Amino acid sequence: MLNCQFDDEIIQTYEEMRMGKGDHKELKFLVLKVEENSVLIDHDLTKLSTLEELTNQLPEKNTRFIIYHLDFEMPSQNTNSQVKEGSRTKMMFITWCPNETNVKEKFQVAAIVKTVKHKLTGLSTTIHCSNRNEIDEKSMIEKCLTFMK
Amino acid sequence: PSMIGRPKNSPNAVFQPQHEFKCHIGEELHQFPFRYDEFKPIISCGIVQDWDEMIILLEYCLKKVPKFDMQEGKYTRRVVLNEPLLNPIKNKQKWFEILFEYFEFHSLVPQVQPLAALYASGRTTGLVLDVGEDCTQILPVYDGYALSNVMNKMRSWGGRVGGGDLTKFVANLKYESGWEFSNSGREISKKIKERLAYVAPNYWKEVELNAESSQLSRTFELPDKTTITIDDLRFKCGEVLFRPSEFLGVDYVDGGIDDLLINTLLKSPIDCRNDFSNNIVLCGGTALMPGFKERLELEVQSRILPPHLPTPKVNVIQQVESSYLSWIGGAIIGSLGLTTHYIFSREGYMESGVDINRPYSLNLS
Repeated sequence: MLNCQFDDEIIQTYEEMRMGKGDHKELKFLVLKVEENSVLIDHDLTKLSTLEELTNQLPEKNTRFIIYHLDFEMPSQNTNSQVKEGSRTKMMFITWCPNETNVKEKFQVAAIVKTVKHKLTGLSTTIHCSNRNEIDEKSMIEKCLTFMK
Repeated sequence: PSMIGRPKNSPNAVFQPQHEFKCHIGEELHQFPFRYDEFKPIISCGIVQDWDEMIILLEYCLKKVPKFDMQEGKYTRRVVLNEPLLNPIKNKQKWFEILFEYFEFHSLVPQVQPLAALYASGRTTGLVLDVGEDCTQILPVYDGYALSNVMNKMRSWGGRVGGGDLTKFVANLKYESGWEFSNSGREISKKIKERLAYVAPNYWKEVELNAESSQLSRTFELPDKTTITIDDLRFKCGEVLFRPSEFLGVDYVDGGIDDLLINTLLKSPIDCRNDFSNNIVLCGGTALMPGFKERLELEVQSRILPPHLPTPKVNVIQQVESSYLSWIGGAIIGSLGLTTHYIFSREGYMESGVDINRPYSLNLS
C-alpha cells in the first residue's frame, strides 16, 4: 500500500452522494485524480452530467478513478408476473488506466486503489478499464447481477 | 543476457576483456562469439546455477549503475529481489546470504515477478501470463491477493518452455534445411525469431497456404551479406509454444501455453473467472510475438464455454514494454517506497538468519 494524502472532502462528497443527502445528492459520479502522492477531486469531470460525456472527455494519457452511482431496475425472476422487483443502487469503482500512460503512473494507481477502497466504505465492485468502450452501464449491471442473485 | 564467457587462451590481446573482471559479460559476448569455450547461462528458469558467476555479474551490474558508490551505498540501500514463482527455499536462502553477507545491503524486499508486472500494468485484479526466456509462469491475482493455490509454472521432464527453446528450435530446423552456422548460430537464430516469427491463428491453414504459394516467405540477410529464405519456419516457431511436446520432442505434462492458461482459469473460483478472463496481462519478451494475443483470445473463447465462464468475454492485454514489465515493476516498488510488511533488514538477518517459516512475498499490501 502506498502512503498518500487523502482529502476529507472526498469522503464527505462521497457519503453525500451515496446517502442522497446534502449538496451533492444529485451527483451521478465522482472523479478522482492522483497528483504527486495525493488524491484529489477532478472538478472539471465531476461537473458533467452523463456517463457518455464523461467517457468522451477522459484524458488519453492520464489515469482517473471514477466512482459511479449505478441505479437500475432489478430484472424479474418470473417473467409472467406483473410484480416488479424494484430498483437497486450500487456504488461502482472504476479505474481508468489507458495503455498510453507511463508505467510509473500505472503502478502508482494500482498501489493506491487499496487505500481508496479502504477509505470509502460501500464500494461494491471494481472494474479496470483501458478502453473507452469498456465503460458502459449495461456491462456494469451484468456484473452486479452475478453476485446479487 | 545473464551470461559470462571466458576467452580461450589467445595470444591476440584484442579479445582480452578490458575491465578487471577477466571475462566478458552480457552483451560483450556478442562481439566475439567464436572466442570462448562453451558458455552457459547463469540463471536457468529463475534459479541460479552458479553462484560465483552470479556475484561477478552483480558486481559488474552495480558498477554500471549511475551515481552509485559501492562503498557508501551498500549499507544504506534497499534491494528489491524479484523472484520467479515457486522459488526453491535453498535458492532464496542463498540470495539472502549473498545480499546481506557479501554485499551488505541495508534491507531487502522480496517480490514475485508476475505481481510486479500486474501492478506495472495498472491493475490489481488479473491473470498474469509471463512467457520469458527460459520459463513460463502464470499467476491469478484478485484485488491484490495472489491466489497461490492456483499459480502454475510450466513443467516438463526436460525443462520449461520459453523464448530460449524457440531459439533452439529455429537453430535445429535451420540445420535440417541445410544451413549450418558455427558458434554464432545462436545469435542468428535469435534474430530470425525476433524479426520473422509469428503465431498463426490456425496452424493447418497456414501449412496449406504455404504449400500453395510463397506469400509467407521472407528473406533474411546473414552477417556475410548472403540472404536466405524463410517460410514455414516463421509459423512453426510460434506453434512451439502451443504444442511443445510435438515440436520439441520432450514430454510437457501440462501441454502448451493455451492449456496452461485454460487450466488455471478453470481452477480459479467461478466468481473470479470473468475478472480474470477480462484482464489477462501478458509479460515477457516472447509474448510480444505477432499474433500471440489473438491466438490466446481465440483459444480461450472457443474452449471455455458459458457454464464455466459466466460471460464469454476475453480481453488479453499486450503492452509495448512487455519484455521488461516485471523488471520495471520491481524498479518502481523500489523507488516509490511502498510500505510492505515484507521488508527484511540486515540487522534482523544477522541476528537470527532467514526464518524460512515466515510467510512472505506473495502479497503487496
